[in-house]
This record gives sequence, structure tokens and C-alpha cells, in this order.
Amino acid sequence: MPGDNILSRLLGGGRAAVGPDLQVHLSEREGADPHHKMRQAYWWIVNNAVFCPYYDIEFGSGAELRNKAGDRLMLHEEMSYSSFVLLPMLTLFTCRRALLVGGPGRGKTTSAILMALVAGMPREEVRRTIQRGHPQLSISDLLGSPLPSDMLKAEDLSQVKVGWRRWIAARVKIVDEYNRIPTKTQSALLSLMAEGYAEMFDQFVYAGRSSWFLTANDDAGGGTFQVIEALKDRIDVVVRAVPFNSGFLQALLRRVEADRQPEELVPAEIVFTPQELEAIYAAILAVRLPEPVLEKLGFFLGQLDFCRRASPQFEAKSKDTLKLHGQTVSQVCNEQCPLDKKVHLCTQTENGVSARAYQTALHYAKALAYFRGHAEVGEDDLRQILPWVLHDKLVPNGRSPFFEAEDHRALLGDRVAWIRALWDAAMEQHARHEPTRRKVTALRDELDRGLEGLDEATTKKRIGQASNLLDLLMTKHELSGPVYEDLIHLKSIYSRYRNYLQWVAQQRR
Amino acid sequence: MLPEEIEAAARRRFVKWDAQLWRFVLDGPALALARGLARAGLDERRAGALVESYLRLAAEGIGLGYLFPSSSGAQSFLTQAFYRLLPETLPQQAPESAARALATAWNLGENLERSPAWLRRLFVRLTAGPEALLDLERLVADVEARALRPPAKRLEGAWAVHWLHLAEEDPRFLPGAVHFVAPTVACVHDRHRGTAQAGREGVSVGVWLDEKPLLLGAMGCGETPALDPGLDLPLLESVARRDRRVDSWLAMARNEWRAAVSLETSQFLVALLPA
Repeated sequence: MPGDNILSRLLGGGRAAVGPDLQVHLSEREGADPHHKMRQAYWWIVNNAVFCPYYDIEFGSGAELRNKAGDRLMLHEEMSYSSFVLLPMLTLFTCRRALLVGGPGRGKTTSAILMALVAGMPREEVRRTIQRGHPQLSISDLLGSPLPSDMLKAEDLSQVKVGWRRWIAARVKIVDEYNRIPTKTQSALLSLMAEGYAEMFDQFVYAGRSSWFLTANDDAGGGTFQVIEALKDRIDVVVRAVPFNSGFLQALLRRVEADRQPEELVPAEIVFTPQELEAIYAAILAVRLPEPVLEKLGFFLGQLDFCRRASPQFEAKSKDTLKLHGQTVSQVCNEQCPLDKKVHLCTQTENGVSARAYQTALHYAKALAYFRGHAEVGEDDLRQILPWVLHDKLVPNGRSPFFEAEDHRALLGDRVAWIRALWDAAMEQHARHEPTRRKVTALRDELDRGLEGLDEATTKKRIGQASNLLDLLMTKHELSGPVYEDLIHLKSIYSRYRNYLQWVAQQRR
Repeated sequence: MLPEEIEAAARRRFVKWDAQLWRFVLDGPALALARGLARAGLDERRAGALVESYLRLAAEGIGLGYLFPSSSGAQSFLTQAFYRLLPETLPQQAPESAARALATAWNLGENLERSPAWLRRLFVRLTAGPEALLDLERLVADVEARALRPPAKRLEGAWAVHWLHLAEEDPRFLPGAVHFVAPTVACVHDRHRGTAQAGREGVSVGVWLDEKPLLLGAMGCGETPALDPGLDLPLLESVARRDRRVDSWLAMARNEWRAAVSLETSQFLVALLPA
């Protein structure tokens, strides 16, 4: 019954109690919903700390306004969010690595500092732990150094105690202007970011589970020093600072007059405990990713690595093959390749993406769905998150015939718009290719149920099915990225069954 | 702790801080409470402690969104208690019981915030007068007995008809589907605006079918009950025979103790209770 224990539920167990001083005291609220708190933190930052002139992570359909010159303005109906605040937040809660890019004074460092404060780090500590990149930053400056007294007394390395820098163990690590750090020191930073530990004099320090925020003034990753490729690859998401809109001048004036910085005003209500951060991370991981959505992600990313002209050997038709031989897609993607460059996506990129990029996309898509209050990831979550995840990972092939068209050329200047357009084109292709993909998936599912106890006749039947489908795809379909993926997949299914058949025959002997 | 200090602490703590509302509380109900305590002859130290407790709870209420401006048109037990009832009733009590009453009112209000809408509405209606706050335990026990427990009498044999004018709550309200949310509490959905659309929640009105039925106001109900879950025609025919105002029935909800029916051409709800 709904009335059970209502008296005790409504009157007992409240937070207010009368103390001996006849004052009413309130205990802390328990079990505040972490999801609600996460959203509150986002809105507080957007409304009070970081000026966000527009919300560019948009969902649902909307009205489109166009002018005669062809400029489009979309007005979406569903809740939309600012990437400049939301992506750092998702980075914080998924313990990943974000690069904030944009000109000076755009709020990159402020945004990173706010994340550290929301994670419960005291303001003074945040200030002290920021690593500021400069051309003289040495490994010792970054990681720490052996104690001088030990250096004099020690007879072997184990007696040298290293004084590690405190920032290494912080929950939120901020590296300002990382592209001004010398190459050698970048390598030390790389091992800390990639492996989670640093080593010096045979001693180790561990970074622990943490979120990284790096900033760079130059969108192209330039700066005083070229950023090493591996370090760039370890960055999970790129966040672009938003330009200041003069419509916010009044708010800026109020801030100047109050003589307070937003980081001084972060309310305690949006500061997370380590337990809450862990709970949210676990809840994000628990967000479901339905099979059809996962399949669309695979369809999109899988075909990007394909290059029909990379090698005469079928299995090596990937952009990696080209790269290993010092070639680029732009050198081989020409009229000798029969694929229509306006249709097939492979022509647009110089590279494919690594398994790490897939993982990152999955992490952020789950986090975005969680933030939106959804129990499972939707296609729209992927569409919104992928441009930021792939921002620095996908390199456009600027010499592709695709970019010769006037309305396509503009995409080379904006990677977010380009990757979103790539995704949209891939989804159109997916609808056409899905019946074929479903047949391949059915064969894969059969194989995944296991080979144990499978008789010879059934195995041969399945080999026949795989061969027929391989033949159909090779002879009746154009060899495009998605078809190539299916063929490689089918070949692996075929090989597994063939090997199994051999093994069964050997056992019989 | 001074009001300025309480406000400064609340500003640091809460995401949503409504400085205007805080000013309203300070200049209105808090001032009335302080004056009432002074008139009651309470010594300054004890009166100060009580006002400080009141202000600290009010600040918490503003920060958490429990208290809102009267101009918003929304109602809640806590706004009613903090703006009107507590400033009136606390000066009438001894300091110990006044502090206890303040704590009890807060606990009840905060727990109600996590309770179903109809229960919140019920308490808003039942605590309209200041006397309700003098004995909240008794009030809660009364609600439990009358609204949550199944009534002793079943709807069989003799029954009484009550005509409830739902337009008193909302002039545009046109009763549609009806469903019960507790043995004696019915939720009536608007025929055209009953379900959530384009970010606006569905329009529904609660009715407490107590011996003296009481309109509970907007329910914000998220359910979408069927318009025609089945009319109990023998019962309704006998109602129609006795009451000439009835024309065609629209939707009905019935449990063992109560029945509520909406009509095709009326803004009234017909409630049937055991006689």
C-alpha cells in the first residue's frame, strides 16, 4: 500500500533536528543524484563561468533558415549543449584526455581549472599543479628530480630518492600550452599519459586514474615545438574554444566590476567527491550500446582505412600500407581508381583510425548519452561526438576530387563540419548496404556460437555459404570500403572454418 | 550568524541562488516572524536563535529550489509554511516547541518534495490554515488514515453523488480520462491537453474523494490513462435515473471504494461515494 509507514517516511528521518542550543541544524543531504549534479555543474558553468555564445551539440530535427548566398542556420528543437563546456566535463567523468585549442584569452585554461575544481581539488592546489609549457621546460621540471643529498651519498641508484612533482598524482592534470614544451620533455609527458607512470633512477611514480586537460593556442598543433605524433595520438578529444560574442559584454562588465573570477565562485553543490566521480564513471560504462548503433559506428570508421590502390595484394588495401611506404592517398587517389570520388568516403581521408579511436568514441558516446539522461547510446550521440573525437585523428586528403566542388572545399577549413558530413554520407550508404552487412553478420553470429562439436557436413555447408557470399560481393558489387570490410570479414570466417575442418581431419588420423 | 553571512554561504554553496527571493524572505516573512516573537515577549537571545534557524532553512530552501516566488503561481507546502504559516504560528509557542515545529515543518516539506504530486497537493490544501502547523504529527496521521488506507465502507449498496466543478482549478479544463492514484484520490486528465507535448507536461487535476471531496489542483501527472477503460453501465444508469443533469458519460474510473466519471459535455466530474 502506498500508505505504509507514511508517518515515519514524512516526519522521521529528516535532515532538520533541534540542538541543545535550540537552533535547528541541518545535516548534509545524502545520496544527491550524481546525474542531476553533473547536469547542474554543466549549467552552472555555462550560465556563470564560461561565455558560450552558441550551443553546437544539437539534437533532433529543426527549422533551417537560408539566405541567398547559401548560408544555413539551423534551429533545433531539442536540448542542445555547448561543446566547449560539455566535452571537458565528459573528459573529467570518463578519465580521458582533452586538448583545448583556440586563441589566447578564450577561456581554455579557465575551463580546465573549473574541471579541477568540480573534481574537488582546492583552488590553490589547482593553481600550483598547472604545468605551464615553455621552451626551457626540462624533464626534471616536469617530473621531479633526485634529492641532491642522496646524489652525493648514494652508492647505487636504489639509494637515490626522487622527489616527484605533486601534480603527477592529481585527479585532474592540466598542461598549459603543451606545444611549447621541448620534444625531449614531450616524450616524458607521453609516457606519463600513455603508460600512466614515469620512471627516473629506477624509481616509478604512478599517475593514477585521472583526467588530462592540455591547451594549445594553435589549432594546427604548431607552436614553439612540433608536437610528437604519438603524443597527439594519445589525445582523446579536441575541444575548440568559442569566440567571444559582444552580446555578452554586459555580463563581462559585471564580472570586471565585481572583481571576482568564476573559479572563485564555484558552489559547493557542484563539487564532486572521489566516490561520486567513481560512481558516475561506473554509471557511464553501464550505458548500453545497442547492436545496430555499434554496427553503424563500425560501418563509418571501418571504411575510412580502405584504399583500393594501396596494394595489389587484397588484404593490404589499406592506407597504412601506403604510409609504411612513404606514400600518401593524394598520390594514388586519381582517375586510375574506378571509384566515384563524390560518393565513396575513402578518398576524403589520408588515414583510417586506430582501435584506440574506436575506444575513445565508445567512451564519449556513452558519457554523452548518460549526460542526456539516456540508458543507451543513440545514433545521434555518435553523430555529435565523433567530430570531436576524430578531430585530430582524421587527416583530410585535400587533393581529393571530392573537395574540388565549391561547397565541399569549405569543409577543409572546419574539421567538425567535415567529419559530421562524412558521418551523414556514411549513414546514407549504410541504409543501402545494410542487407549485405546483415548476411555477413548472420554468418559471424553462427561462428561466434562456437565450433565445438560441429560436424563436418555443417562445417562444409557454412564454408559454402561464406564462399557464395564472397563470390557475390567480388563479382556483383563494386569494391568499395564497406564491401572490402565485408570481404575481409568473410575471408576470416572462411579461414576459421577451413582450419577447423583440417583440425577435425587430423584428429581422425 | 548574520543574514548577510547566511546569504554569502548559500551563494558559495548553491548553483541556483535567487537573491531577489532571499530579499523577499528577509523583508517579508522573516521580519514578520521577528516582530511576532518580539510581541510575544520572547527573550532576545532565544528569538534570535529561532530567526537564525528560520533563515538558514529558508536559504537552503531557496538554494535547492524548494522555495519559489509567490508570483510564479506554483504552490508547495514549504512555501506556504515559510512565507505564511511559520511566521504566524511560531510566536504562539514556547521556544522549545517552536524550534521543534520549525524542524518538523522542514522535514515534512523536504520529504514531500520527494513524494508523489498528489500527496504534495493534498498537504498544500490541508495546511491552508495556521492551526494545521500546530500539530503536524496528527495531520500526517489523519492523511494516512483518510487518503492512503482503504476506507472502511465499500461502494456497494447506497451511494451519494458529488458534482465537482473542475473549472474552478483551470477555466479551460475539460475532464477526460480518469484514474486512481490512491484509494480515495483520483487524477483527471484534460481531454485535449492531457498528455505531455512539445516539452509541456500534460494537464491533469487531482481530486480527493473524501467524505467532503476536495480539488487538489494541477497534478503534473505523467501517465496516459485510456479514455475508455470501460463504463460500469448498470451503476451509471441508476445515477442517470436519479440525476437529470447527466447526459452522456465519457470516461470512468472505479475502485472498490470510489468511482469518478467525466461527461461528454461538462466541466464537472461526477464522484460516487458510499452513502
